Amino acid sequence: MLPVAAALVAALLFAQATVRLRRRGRPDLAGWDRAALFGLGLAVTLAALLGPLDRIADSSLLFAHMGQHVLIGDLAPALLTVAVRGPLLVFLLPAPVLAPLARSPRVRALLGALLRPRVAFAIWAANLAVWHVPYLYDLALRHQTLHDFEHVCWVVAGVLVWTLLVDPGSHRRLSVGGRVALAATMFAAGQVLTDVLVFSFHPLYPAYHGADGLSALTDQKLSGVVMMVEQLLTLGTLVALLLRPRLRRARLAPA
Amino acid sequence: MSATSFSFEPLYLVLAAIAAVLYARARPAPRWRIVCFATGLVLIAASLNSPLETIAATRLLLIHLLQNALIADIAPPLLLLGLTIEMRERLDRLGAHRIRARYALSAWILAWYGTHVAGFYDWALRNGWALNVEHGILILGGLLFWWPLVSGRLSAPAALGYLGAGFVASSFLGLVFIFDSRPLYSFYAHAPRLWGFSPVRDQNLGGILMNAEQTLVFLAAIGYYVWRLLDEEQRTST
Repeated sequence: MLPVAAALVAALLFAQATVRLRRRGRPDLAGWDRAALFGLGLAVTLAALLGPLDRIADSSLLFAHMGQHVLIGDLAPALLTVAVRGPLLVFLLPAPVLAPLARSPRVRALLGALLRPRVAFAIWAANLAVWHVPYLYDLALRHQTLHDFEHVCWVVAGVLVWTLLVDPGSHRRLSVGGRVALAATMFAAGQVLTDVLVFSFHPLYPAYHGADGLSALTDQKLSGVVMMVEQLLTLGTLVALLLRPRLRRARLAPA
Repeated sequence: MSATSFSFEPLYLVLAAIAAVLYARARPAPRWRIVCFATGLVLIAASLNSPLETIAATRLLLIHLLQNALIADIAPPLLLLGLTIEMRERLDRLGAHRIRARYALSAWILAWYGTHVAGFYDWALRNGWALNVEHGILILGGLLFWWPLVSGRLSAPAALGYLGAGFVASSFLGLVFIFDSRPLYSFYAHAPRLWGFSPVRDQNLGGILMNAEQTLVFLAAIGYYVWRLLDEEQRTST
């Protein structure tokens, strides 16, 4: 029930941030579109962790497990960070909680270090690589606590990189080009894993034997495709949105 | 004829020789451009005049797809990178300036998928001259696709969009080869086998090779344009 509790807390924090911003006369910064994106982000996380996908991922199909990971580690963090961009991010924590955290040098130093682009990317890539080592993958499937920890790792790593990609607090840790470069590097790193899964001629994860008419090998290849397609959709959309203003400027500029 | 004997395909040898002579007669180019152009020509001429062609035309789809990747994905950008600015301007005067990115992309996709349609592929393999047509379409499609990028008419953001669209649009073919558990081409299903590959294994390996090659080529090109984007930002900020 940990995911439900966490989602409930997140929803409450978002709701109070919205109410506070609206009371200050800025409903434009806390519109229903933001609430819809945030709700969708939470729904994606809960559906991935509690719905039928979780049962299939744990018991029969690797590609469902990969789908679960990209949903909680990529799509949900993307939706949540886009939803809270701007002043909503500051209002997310009530003042009595935010003030001591913001004043704490340790918290600031930790966040500053974690959100350095190279550090955040290294954490994200290491998380991707480590949790796909067959031994660890199977171990996590056998031990629920480790499995839960794995899912927390996916969420944390996803939130770190998507905070840099979306820049919800306008900290400008990366320029637009830098964000495009990070997205491209993430795609290239994901592609390495995709290639290992798709190009392998033997099933790599002994816990999966294939199901529903899919052989273990086809299931594994599909899991690589799931990763590639999801990354193309999320990172591709981000890059298109980042570059759109420049393309428009280039089109309007006199030849 | 042995499965690995050298083939002789005069058409592309002659065309490569003509291109080399025209290139040599133009104003001297920097060494790196000469190397690019020469490598592009060698890739086309050698892959069509070597055991690659023999194996591709008689035994293995895997090798045919390797050949197609060399002549359609790798040789064309090298040939175009080999052209100096004067040469590109000359091509522009001859009508190349009319090649819009969206049409080039569509033509390339059409060439890529069209030449791999089972009916056409099998027909081309059974008729020597038609195989030349297939290779010609692929080379031309590749040249068209890379022209808007190499001609420098696309800004870095536009080039990234163009490459992204090309990468996504072209990747389905490799995936079909990887996932299909039946041979798509009747020619290879009945061809004598080589190196112990079954027709399906041959096809799966071909798809893997095609996807891996395209991933490398496209990610390299995307990396270059991301670097240019960062460079432009740095120059604007200073």
